[in-house]
Amino acid sequence: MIDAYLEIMHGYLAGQADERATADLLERAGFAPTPTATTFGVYRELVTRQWRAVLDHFFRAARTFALANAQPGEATWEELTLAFHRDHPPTQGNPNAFCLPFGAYLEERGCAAPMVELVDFAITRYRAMHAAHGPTVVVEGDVWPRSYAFDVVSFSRAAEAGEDRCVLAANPTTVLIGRSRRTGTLRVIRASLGALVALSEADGGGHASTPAAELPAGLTRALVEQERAVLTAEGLLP
Amino acid sequence: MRTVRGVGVGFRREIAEGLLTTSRPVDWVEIISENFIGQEGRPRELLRRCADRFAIVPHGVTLSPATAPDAGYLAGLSELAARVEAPFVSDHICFSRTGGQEWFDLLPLPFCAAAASRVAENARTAQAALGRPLLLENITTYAVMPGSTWDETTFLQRIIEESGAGLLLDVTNLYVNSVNLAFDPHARMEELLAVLGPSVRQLHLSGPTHDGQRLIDSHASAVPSIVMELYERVLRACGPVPTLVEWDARIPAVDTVLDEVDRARRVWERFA
Repeated sequence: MIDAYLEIMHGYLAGQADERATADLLERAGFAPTPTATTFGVYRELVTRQWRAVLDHFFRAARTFALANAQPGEATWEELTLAFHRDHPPTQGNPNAFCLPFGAYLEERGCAAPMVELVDFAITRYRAMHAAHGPTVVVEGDVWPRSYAFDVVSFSRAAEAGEDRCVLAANPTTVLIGRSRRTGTLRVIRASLGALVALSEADGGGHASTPAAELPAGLTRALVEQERAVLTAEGLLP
Repeated sequence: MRTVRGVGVGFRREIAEGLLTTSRPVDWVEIISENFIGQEGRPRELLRRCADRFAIVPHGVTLSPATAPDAGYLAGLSELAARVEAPFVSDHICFSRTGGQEWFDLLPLPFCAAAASRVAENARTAQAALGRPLLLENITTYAVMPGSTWDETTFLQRIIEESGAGLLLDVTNLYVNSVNLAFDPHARMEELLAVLGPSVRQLHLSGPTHDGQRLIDSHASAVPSIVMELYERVLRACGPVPTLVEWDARIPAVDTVLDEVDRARRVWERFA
């Protein structure tokens, strides 16, 4: 009997039936109305508020950008998140797991690069903070190189500090994102070519030294070693 | 197993560092289970530091004992409870999942035999899987749901009796319900203690906020004085039950949160 109750309430919470219709369905299933002074209509509002709060908090910078740059004819933040919730309803107790497919969802929908990059930056930082550190560094396992066309790092920092008037500048940047092996804190550092080579050489526990002749133009072995030392000091390399 | 005694506080990210480094007394902490189950990286590191300092109780929000048990969740919770040597775990008398979908909220059941039996059955399953006691908490309800043929006290009593679980009595929830559903909280508390007093294993205190239409169980303010009066009444009836202060929204500086803990402890110590 209680399964019927849960099924009917599912339809109500999912927006498939309004409160009146839900009450009728419940009564027909044997759940008679009660003489309560208040109705249960508040619950759809509460669950909507909850999942919206999860997304708004996780993607605070993307939301700030979307609200400030809404264009006629484009989906608003509210519409995007509503569609996402409909297409990817949460199935795990940890609310953050609900947020993780949002980046791929925006890409599938062909959303503009700034939004996609801001969302990717939020997801990558989350992954970095929740990754286990093994004895060796693994690219895309505990350090994530990212090339962004916009300065999502500065924008996210400002938006998450509560600035509503921040501007997302077009400024191609390559960063390395990871959690310091020394301090446990998030590290987001701008990556030079030398740093990328040093990371690539260390990936998976490698100790390879790219022959000088094969290094990209303008890069020397000494520069790579210098960058390796910086990444080690930042805690991104063991 | 570690012992939980005195007045603890909810271990939340915003005040985690403050709690881990404070010199003020914190008797124990409660963690939100879902934030740590199967987690690596920073959550695991925080948990290790937390366990080094405090006794920990995992408090879940997605057991959803009215719906079919989730074996994966129970396995993860069991591992977490073992890792922190939890004396017990807790969750809520509600549903939070339907049709495989999570609602991120504690949703009310009708106060009836069918719902009580379902919750009790799943609570027994959970306790068997966890290998340690489960406490079940009364939730806030903003409406008495269709199909309710009992009052809430009878509903809680039946679940606790049938499941063998302990009661995590949220004093604030009882008060919030009394405001929204217009009943006398003192009389309801007397009624509840008369039948469930011996089953009360833990208490929750928090501060609600008013949204203009109703009192919301927001955990976003100091504990109201009427809740402290009810708390004192519970301790008088049940003795020094472990108590936890929850502050989950608009979280102030750690010292402000600990002021609330101290305030509760001053009451608790009178019955210790």
